[in-house]
Amino acid sequence: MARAYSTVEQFAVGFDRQREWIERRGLLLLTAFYLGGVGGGLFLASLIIGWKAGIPIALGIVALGKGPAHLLYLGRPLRFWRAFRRPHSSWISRGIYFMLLFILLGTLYYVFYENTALAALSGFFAFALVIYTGFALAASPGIPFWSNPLVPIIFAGAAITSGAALAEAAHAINTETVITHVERLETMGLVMSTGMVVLIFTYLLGNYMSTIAAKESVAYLAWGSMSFVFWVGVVLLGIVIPLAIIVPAYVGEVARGWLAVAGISELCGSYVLRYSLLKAGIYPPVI
Amino acid sequence: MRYGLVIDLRKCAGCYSCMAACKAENFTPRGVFFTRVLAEEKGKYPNARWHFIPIQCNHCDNPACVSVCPTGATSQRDDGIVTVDPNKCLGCRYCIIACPYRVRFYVDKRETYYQNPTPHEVYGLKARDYQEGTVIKCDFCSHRIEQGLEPACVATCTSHARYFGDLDDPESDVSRLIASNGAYQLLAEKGTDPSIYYIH
Ligand code: SF4
Ligand code: SF4
Ligand code: SF4
Repeated sequence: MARAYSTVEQFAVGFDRQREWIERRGLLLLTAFYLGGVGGGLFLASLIIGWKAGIPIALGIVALGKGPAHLLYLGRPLRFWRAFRRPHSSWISRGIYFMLLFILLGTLYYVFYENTALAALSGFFAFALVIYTGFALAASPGIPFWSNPLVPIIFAGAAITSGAALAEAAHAINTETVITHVERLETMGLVMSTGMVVLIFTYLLGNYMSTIAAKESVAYLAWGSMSFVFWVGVVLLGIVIPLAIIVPAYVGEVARGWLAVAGISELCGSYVLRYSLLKAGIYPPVI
Repeated sequence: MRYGLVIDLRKCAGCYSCMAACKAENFTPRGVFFTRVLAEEKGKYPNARWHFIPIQCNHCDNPACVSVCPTGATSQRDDGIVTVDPNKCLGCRYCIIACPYRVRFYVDKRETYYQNPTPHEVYGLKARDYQEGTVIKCDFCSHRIEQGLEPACVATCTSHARYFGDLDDPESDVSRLIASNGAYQLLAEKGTDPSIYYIH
């Protein structure tokens, strides 16, 4: 069946939640966004902490995870090549270029590991990869909750936090992991997680005080039917548990196993964060 | 030249004829209505009243759906009509997300209303190239405009609430109606500059 909304929503005046990018096959798109964020974020984290083995893992997550998930989402996957045509106006086209250039330059950097020019270039495209999804959402004038300059920053921030969390978990689980600047790992985790708390709070508060549809989105997440998912997934798994472990680890010592828990918990929370943001995309009534 | 529509809500009776005419004319798949009539109850008993507002693609002058489309499948003609090329669309649905008016439809499966399709449905399956995995929407009945006819919703409107014409021509009915009645566009603050105006 051709579907966009339920029958009631089609004929009533009122708020309307976006479904195309979150329900049914839309979950594949969410997964693609997530894997792009984790892969790009891990690449950036690996550059910062000096974890060479993190680079192929990051490239693999993007090439074997994000790319196929995008393709499977499309209604006509065999026409994917047509999406190369409009980088001057469409964030989806730009995203494809970012992804391919990231994979190409990232692979070259892995081969010529000490090359600083390649490090800078591949780092640039990793950053472009993690931030463009936010711009893609922000370019949708129909959804005030997304049409907000903080959205790209939240997507980029969540991605880098996840990248650091994955490195943290890998380091905690495998004692053989060779990381040049291991001291940067905990600092990065702490700074990014704290920054995300401020960012998410500012974003939600700002939306709550803006248009009626943006307010509706915040209400839907904070005390509406998505509140359990939001508070448990985003707040508890993504923020409270990781910070409850990272802060003591930063000021003293905690068992490695707990650091792995913090990393895995953050990775789950980051998925739910994206899920929540997509799910809360609400259109205002047309009149 | 910029085709546009004026809908006089003072005359609209909420008869849904435009919706039915559009469906019959365009053979839209099950569940898809290029033109919809939204209903809203206003006021409180004993003064409650139904309020109807027909909506469809606004063929915006600054269409959000065109700029986000990664393939160029959605484009704007010189006469302002926004169309989707079914052979170029890859079904990313970015246009559905970007359009503030919820007037685009993704065809997951092209289904008819009846298990044994009616002759009308059988004809429609051949007559319209609605491909599965692509997005479809109103094109102001461009096949009728090419024959010098009005869009089906306009020709059918039982209350003569719909007017179709050239917004760029100051002498056209639509331009005069807009100028003399303070007509407004839906969600004008979105910056899409719709080509459908409403008189309240
Ligand atoms: S109403 Fe929506 S689909 Fe139609 S032209 Fe405007 S933005 Fe595009
Ligand atoms: S679904 Fe089709 S028409 Fe819409 S943005 Fe994607 S390629 Fe363009
Ligand atoms: S056909 Fe005319 S009167 Fe009837 S619902 Fe449509 S616009 Fe209103």
